[in-house]
Amino acid sequence: MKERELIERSQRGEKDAFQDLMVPYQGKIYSLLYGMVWNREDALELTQEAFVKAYRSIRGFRMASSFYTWLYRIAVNLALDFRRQRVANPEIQKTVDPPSTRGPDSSLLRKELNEQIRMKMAQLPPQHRAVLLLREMGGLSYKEIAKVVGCRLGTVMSRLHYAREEMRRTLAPYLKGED
Amino acid sequence: MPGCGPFRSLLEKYLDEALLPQERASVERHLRGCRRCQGELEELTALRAHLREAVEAGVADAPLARIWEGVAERLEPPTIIERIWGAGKALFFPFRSLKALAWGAAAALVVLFLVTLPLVTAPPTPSVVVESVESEGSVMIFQGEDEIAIVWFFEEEEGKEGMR
Repeated sequence: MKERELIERSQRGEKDAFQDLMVPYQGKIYSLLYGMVWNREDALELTQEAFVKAYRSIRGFRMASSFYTWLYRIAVNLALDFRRQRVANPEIQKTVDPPSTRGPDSSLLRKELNEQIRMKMAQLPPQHRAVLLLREMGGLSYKEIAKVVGCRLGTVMSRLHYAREEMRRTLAPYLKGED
Repeated sequence: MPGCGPFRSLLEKYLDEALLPQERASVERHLRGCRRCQGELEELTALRAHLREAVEAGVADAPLARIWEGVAERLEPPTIIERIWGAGKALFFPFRSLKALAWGAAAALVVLFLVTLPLVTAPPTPSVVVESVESEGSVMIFQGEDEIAIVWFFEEEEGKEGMR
Protein backbone atom coordinates (compact mmCIF):
# COMPACT_ATOMS: atom_id res chain seq x y z
CA MET A 1 0.00 0.00 0.00
CA LYS A 2 1.27 3.44 -0.84
CA GLU A 3 2.44 5.77 1.90
CA ARG A 4 -0.04 8.46 0.89
CA GLU A 5 -2.96 6.09 1.32
CA LEU A 6 -1.65 4.95 4.70
CA ILE A 7 -1.33 8.57 5.78
CA GLU A 8 -4.90 9.35 4.69
CA ARG A 9 -6.25 6.30 6.51
CA SER A 10 -4.22 7.21 9.59
CA GLN A 11 -5.70 10.69 9.43
CA ARG A 12 -9.13 9.05 9.64
CA GLY A 13 -8.00 7.33 12.85
CA GLU A 14 -7.24 3.82 11.49
CA LYS A 15 -4.65 2.42 13.88
CA ASP A 16 -3.68 -0.55 11.66
CA ALA A 17 -2.84 1.79 8.82
CA PHE A 18 -0.82 3.93 11.18
CA GLN A 19 1.19 0.92 12.35
CA ASP A 20 1.88 -0.09 8.72
CA LEU A 21 2.96 3.48 8.07
CA MET A 22 5.38 3.53 10.98
CA VAL A 23 7.01 0.10 10.61
CA PRO A 24 9.50 1.13 7.89
CA TYR A 25 10.63 4.04 10.06
CA GLN A 26 10.83 2.46 13.50
CA GLY A 27 14.42 1.18 13.15
CA LYS A 28 15.67 4.52 11.82
CA ILE A 29 13.86 6.56 14.46
CA TYR A 30 15.04 4.23 17.23
CA SER A 31 18.68 4.44 16.01
CA LEU A 32 18.50 8.22 15.77
CA LEU A 33 17.09 8.50 19.29
CA TYR A 34 19.59 6.01 20.64
CA GLY A 35 22.37 8.17 19.16
CA MET A 36 20.85 11.18 20.93
CA VAL A 37 20.55 9.59 24.40
CA TRP A 38 22.82 6.48 24.26
CA ASN A 39 20.47 4.48 26.42
CA ARG A 40 18.27 1.72 25.01
CA GLU A 41 15.38 2.07 27.44
CA ASP A 42 15.24 5.84 27.03
CA ALA A 43 15.48 5.46 23.24
CA LEU A 44 12.64 2.93 23.29
CA GLU A 45 10.47 5.16 25.42
CA LEU A 46 11.19 8.17 23.22
CA THR A 47 10.42 6.19 20.05
CA GLN A 48 7.06 5.18 21.51
CA GLU A 49 6.37 8.76 22.52
CA ALA A 50 7.30 9.99 19.04
CA PHE A 51 4.87 7.53 17.42
CA VAL A 52 2.06 8.41 19.82
CA LYS A 53 2.64 12.10 19.16
CA ALA A 54 2.73 11.46 15.42
CA TYR A 55 -0.60 9.60 15.63
CA ARG A 56 -2.24 12.38 17.57
CA SER A 57 -1.02 15.11 15.25
CA ILE A 58 -1.16 13.32 11.88
CA ARG A 59 -4.42 15.08 11.03
CA GLY A 60 -2.43 18.28 10.75
CA PHE A 61 0.11 16.75 8.36
CA ARG A 62 -0.02 18.26 4.87
CA MET A 63 0.76 15.99 1.95
CA ALA A 64 2.81 18.76 0.34
CA SER A 65 5.64 18.17 2.80
CA SER A 66 7.79 15.09 3.22
CA PHE A 67 6.44 12.61 5.74
CA TYR A 68 9.77 11.35 7.03
CA THR A 69 11.15 14.84 7.70
CA TRP A 70 7.91 15.56 9.59
CA LEU A 71 8.39 12.38 11.63
CA TYR A 72 12.10 13.05 12.23
CA ARG A 73 11.18 16.52 13.45
CA ILE A 74 8.85 15.10 16.08
CA ALA A 75 11.54 12.62 17.20
CA VAL A 76 14.35 15.21 17.36
CA ASN A 77 12.20 17.68 19.30
CA LEU A 78 11.32 14.99 21.83
CA ALA A 79 14.99 14.09 22.23
CA LEU A 80 15.92 17.74 22.75
CA ASP A 81 13.11 18.19 25.31
CA PHE A 82 14.24 15.00 27.04
CA ARG A 83 17.76 16.36 27.25
CA ARG A 84 16.51 19.67 28.68
CA GLN A 85 14.49 17.83 31.33
CA ARG A 86 17.54 15.82 32.29
CA VAL A 87 19.64 18.94 32.61
CA ALA A 88 16.92 20.66 34.66
CA ASN A 89 16.46 17.60 36.92
CA PRO A 90 19.87 16.09 37.54
CA GLU A 91 18.46 13.74 40.18
CA ILE A 92 16.75 11.73 37.46
CA GLN A 93 19.95 11.44 35.42
CA LYS A 94 20.49 7.94 34.21
CA THR A 95 23.79 6.55 33.19
CA VAL A 96 24.30 5.75 29.54
CA ASP A 97 24.56 2.11 28.53
CA PRO A 98 27.94 0.45 28.96
CA PRO A 99 29.86 -0.02 25.72
CA SER A 100 28.29 -2.75 23.69
CA THR A 101 30.17 -5.87 22.66
CA ARG A 102 27.49 -6.72 20.13
CA GLY A 103 27.76 -6.02 16.45
CA PRO A 104 29.99 -7.31 13.71
CA ASP A 105 33.28 -6.57 15.46
CA SER A 106 33.59 -7.16 19.20
CA SER A 107 37.35 -6.77 19.46
CA LEU A 108 38.87 -4.78 22.27
CA LEU A 109 39.78 -1.93 19.93
CA ARG A 110 36.25 -1.79 18.64
CA LYS A 111 34.85 -1.61 22.16
CA GLU A 112 37.30 1.12 23.06
CA LEU A 113 36.43 3.10 19.96
CA ASN A 114 32.70 2.75 20.58
CA GLU A 115 33.23 4.01 24.11
CA GLN A 116 35.16 7.02 22.84
CA ILE A 117 32.44 7.82 20.32
CA ARG A 118 29.72 7.47 22.94
CA MET A 119 31.55 9.76 25.36
CA LYS A 120 32.33 12.39 22.77
CA MET A 121 28.80 12.37 21.38
CA ALA A 122 27.46 12.93 24.90
CA GLN A 123 29.66 16.03 25.15
CA LEU A 124 28.45 17.60 21.91
CA PRO A 125 25.73 20.24 22.15
CA PRO A 126 22.42 18.41 21.50
CA GLN A 127 21.64 20.47 18.39
CA HIS A 128 25.03 19.58 16.88
CA ARG A 129 24.56 15.93 17.79
CA ALA A 130 21.15 15.90 16.12
CA VAL A 131 22.54 17.40 12.90
CA LEU A 132 25.45 14.94 12.83
CA LEU A 133 23.15 11.94 13.35
CA LEU A 134 20.59 13.11 10.80
CA ARG A 135 23.37 13.36 8.23
CA GLU A 136 25.53 10.35 9.09
CA MET A 137 22.85 7.91 10.23
CA GLY A 138 19.72 9.19 8.51
CA GLY A 139 21.42 10.28 5.28
CA LEU A 140 19.29 13.44 5.12
CA SER A 141 20.36 16.29 2.84
CA TYR A 142 21.31 19.68 4.31
CA LYS A 143 17.95 21.06 3.22
CA GLU A 144 16.04 18.23 4.87
CA ILE A 145 18.05 18.62 8.07
CA ALA A 146 17.26 22.35 8.08
CA LYS A 147 13.56 21.49 7.92
CA VAL A 148 13.82 18.90 10.69
CA VAL A 149 15.71 21.07 13.16
CA GLY A 150 14.11 24.34 12.03
CA CYS A 151 17.19 26.36 11.18
CA ARG A 152 18.95 27.86 8.17
CA LEU A 153 20.99 25.88 5.68
CA GLY A 154 24.16 27.71 6.70
CA THR A 155 23.54 26.83 10.34
CA VAL A 156 23.20 23.15 9.41
CA MET A 157 26.54 23.20 7.60
CA SER A 158 28.34 25.02 10.39
CA ARG A 159 26.92 22.70 13.08
CA LEU A 160 27.84 19.67 11.03
CA HIS A 161 31.37 20.96 10.50
CA TYR A 162 31.78 21.75 14.20
CA ALA A 163 30.49 18.33 15.26
CA ARG A 164 32.76 16.52 12.81
CA GLU A 165 35.80 18.53 13.87
CA GLU A 166 35.12 17.76 17.53
CA MET A 167 34.70 14.07 16.82
CA ARG A 168 37.80 13.95 14.62
CA ARG A 169 39.91 15.63 17.27
CA THR A 170 38.97 13.02 19.84
CA LEU A 171 39.05 10.04 17.54
CA ALA A 172 42.13 11.04 15.56
CA PRO A 173 44.20 8.00 16.66
CA TYR A 174 41.47 5.68 15.36
CA LEU A 175 40.93 7.51 12.12
CA LYS A 176 44.46 7.90 10.82
CA GLY A 177 45.50 5.59 8.04
CA GLU A 178 42.13 3.80 7.78
CA ASP A 179 40.50 2.58 4.61
CA MET B 1 50.25 21.20 -0.47
CA PRO B 2 49.75 24.71 -1.86
CA GLY B 3 46.34 25.39 -3.35
CA CYS B 4 44.48 23.02 -0.99
CA GLY B 5 42.54 25.78 0.81
CA PRO B 6 39.49 26.09 -1.41
CA PHE B 7 39.27 22.31 -1.85
CA ARG B 8 39.55 21.45 1.86
CA SER B 9 36.47 23.53 2.56
CA LEU B 10 34.61 21.55 -0.10
CA LEU B 11 35.56 18.08 1.15
CA GLU B 12 32.63 17.77 3.55
CA LYS B 13 30.19 18.82 0.85
CA TYR B 14 31.87 16.34 -1.46
CA LEU B 15 31.35 13.57 1.09
CA ASP B 16 27.75 14.67 1.61
CA GLU B 17 27.09 14.78 -2.14
CA ALA B 18 26.10 18.43 -1.88
CA LEU B 19 28.30 19.80 -4.67
CA LEU B 20 27.32 20.83 -8.17
CA PRO B 21 28.62 18.46 -10.89
CA GLN B 22 31.37 20.85 -12.01
CA GLU B 23 32.48 21.45 -8.39
CA ARG B 24 32.52 17.71 -7.78
CA ALA B 25 34.63 17.12 -10.88
CA SER B 26 37.02 19.86 -9.79
CA VAL B 27 37.44 18.33 -6.30
CA GLU B 28 38.02 14.88 -7.81
CA ARG B 29 40.75 16.28 -10.07
CA HIS B 30 42.42 17.86 -7.05
CA LEU B 31 42.10 14.69 -4.96
CA ARG B 32 43.96 12.66 -7.56
CA GLY B 33 47.08 14.76 -6.96
CA CYS B 34 46.78 15.72 -3.27
CA ARG B 35 47.57 13.16 -0.59
CA ARG B 36 46.72 15.57 2.21
CA CYS B 37 43.17 16.09 0.99
CA GLN B 38 42.87 12.36 0.31
CA GLY B 39 43.79 11.80 3.97
CA GLU B 40 41.19 14.36 5.11
CA LEU B 41 38.51 12.68 3.08
CA GLU B 42 39.50 9.25 4.37
CA GLU B 43 39.19 10.51 7.96
CA LEU B 44 35.75 11.94 7.32
CA THR B 45 34.67 8.69 5.67
CA ALA B 46 36.10 6.65 8.56
CA LEU B 47 34.34 8.87 11.10
CA ARG B 48 31.03 8.23 9.37
CA ALA B 49 31.63 4.48 9.30
CA HIS B 50 32.68 4.33 12.97
CA LEU B 51 29.73 6.41 14.12
CA ARG B 52 27.34 4.15 12.25
CA GLU B 53 28.98 1.05 13.66
CA ALA B 54 28.85 2.43 17.21
CA VAL B 55 25.13 3.20 16.96
CA GLU B 56 24.36 -0.07 15.17
CA ALA B 57 26.23 -2.03 17.86
CA GLY B 58 24.11 -0.28 20.48
CA VAL B 59 20.83 -1.11 18.78
CA ALA B 60 21.88 -4.50 17.35
CA ASP B 61 19.29 -6.51 19.26
CA ALA B 62 16.87 -3.68 19.85
CA PRO B 63 13.49 -4.84 21.09
CA LEU B 64 11.64 -3.21 18.19
CA ALA B 65 8.59 -5.40 18.77
CA ARG B 66 8.21 -3.76 22.17
CA ILE B 67 7.78 -0.40 20.51
CA TRP B 68 4.31 -1.34 19.32
CA GLU B 69 3.27 -2.94 22.56
CA GLY B 70 3.77 0.43 24.24
CA VAL B 71 2.37 2.48 21.39
CA ALA B 72 -0.84 0.47 20.88
CA GLU B 73 -1.83 0.98 24.51
CA ARG B 74 -1.50 4.70 24.14
CA LEU B 75 -3.19 5.15 20.76
CA GLU B 76 -6.43 6.50 22.12
CA PRO B 77 -8.67 8.27 19.66
CA PRO B 78 -8.22 12.03 19.76
CA THR B 79 -10.14 13.80 22.52
CA ILE B 80 -13.12 15.96 21.66
CA ILE B 81 -11.00 19.08 22.15
CA GLU B 82 -8.35 17.73 19.75
CA ARG B 83 -11.07 16.93 17.20
CA ILE B 84 -12.56 20.41 17.46
CA TRP B 85 -9.11 21.96 17.24
CA GLY B 86 -8.23 19.84 14.20
CA ALA B 87 -11.51 20.65 12.45
CA GLY B 88 -11.17 24.34 13.29
CA LYS B 89 -7.62 24.42 12.02
CA ALA B 90 -8.64 22.81 8.75
CA LEU B 91 -11.55 25.24 8.39
CA PHE B 92 -9.85 28.47 9.34
CA PHE B 93 -6.30 27.69 8.30
CA PRO B 94 -6.59 25.94 4.97
CA PHE B 95 -3.18 27.28 3.97
CA ARG B 96 -0.21 25.01 3.61
CA SER B 97 2.43 27.43 4.72
CA LEU B 98 2.89 30.68 6.55
CA LYS B 99 3.82 32.34 3.27
CA ALA B 100 0.52 31.31 1.71
CA LEU B 101 -1.28 32.44 4.85
CA ALA B 102 0.42 35.84 4.66
CA TRP B 103 -0.55 36.25 1.00
CA GLY B 104 -4.11 35.16 1.77
CA ALA B 105 -4.38 37.64 4.64
CA ALA B 106 -2.97 40.44 2.47
CA ALA B 107 -5.44 39.66 -0.32
CA ALA B 108 -8.34 39.60 2.16
CA LEU B 109 -7.29 42.99 3.55
CA VAL B 110 -7.13 44.51 0.06
CA VAL B 111 -10.61 43.19 -0.80
CA LEU B 112 -11.98 44.44 2.52
CA PHE B 113 -10.45 47.86 1.92
CA LEU B 114 -11.87 48.12 -1.60
CA VAL B 115 -15.34 47.08 -0.46
CA THR B 116 -15.51 49.44 2.50
CA LEU B 117 -13.83 52.43 0.86
CA PRO B 118 -17.01 53.82 -0.84
CA LEU B 119 -18.98 53.39 2.39
CA VAL B 120 -16.42 55.33 4.35
CA THR B 121 -15.84 58.16 1.89
CA ALA B 122 -19.32 58.72 0.33
CA PRO B 123 -21.47 61.44 1.95
CA PRO B 124 -24.73 60.26 3.52
CA THR B 125 -27.56 60.21 0.98
CA PRO B 126 -31.09 60.84 2.29
CA SER B 127 -33.61 58.37 1.00
CA VAL B 128 -36.31 61.03 0.70
CA VAL B 129 -35.63 64.25 -1.14
CA VAL B 130 -38.01 67.22 -1.08
CA GLU B 131 -37.57 68.86 -4.45
CA SER B 132 -40.31 71.54 -4.38
CA VAL B 133 -43.17 72.72 -2.24
CA GLU B 134 -46.29 74.51 -3.43
CA SER B 135 -47.68 76.73 -0.73
CA GLU B 136 -48.93 80.28 -0.37
CA GLY B 137 -47.72 80.53 3.17
CA SER B 138 -44.30 80.04 4.64
CA VAL B 139 -42.67 76.58 4.75
CA MET B 140 -40.12 74.96 7.02
CA ILE B 141 -38.42 71.68 6.10
CA PHE B 142 -36.44 69.33 8.29
CA GLN B 143 -34.62 66.60 6.46
CA GLY B 144 -32.61 64.02 8.45
CA GLU B 145 -30.11 61.39 7.28
CA ASP B 146 -32.66 58.65 7.70
CA GLU B 147 -35.97 58.20 5.92
CA ILE B 148 -37.75 61.01 7.76
CA ALA B 149 -38.46 64.39 6.25
CA ILE B 150 -40.74 66.84 8.08
CA VAL B 151 -42.41 69.76 6.30
CA TRP B 152 -44.30 72.48 8.17
CA PHE B 153 -46.78 74.74 6.28
CA PHE B 154 -47.66 78.02 8.00
CA GLU B 155 -50.90 79.74 6.82
CA GLU B 156 -51.05 83.37 7.82
CA GLU B 157 -54.84 83.75 8.48
CA GLU B 158 -55.68 80.66 10.49
CA GLY B 159 -52.24 79.66 11.67
CA LYS B 160 -52.65 76.01 10.59
CA GLU B 161 -49.74 73.64 10.39
CA GLY B 162 -49.38 70.87 7.86
CA MET B 163 -47.07 67.94 8.02
CA ARG B 164 -46.17 65.35 5.44
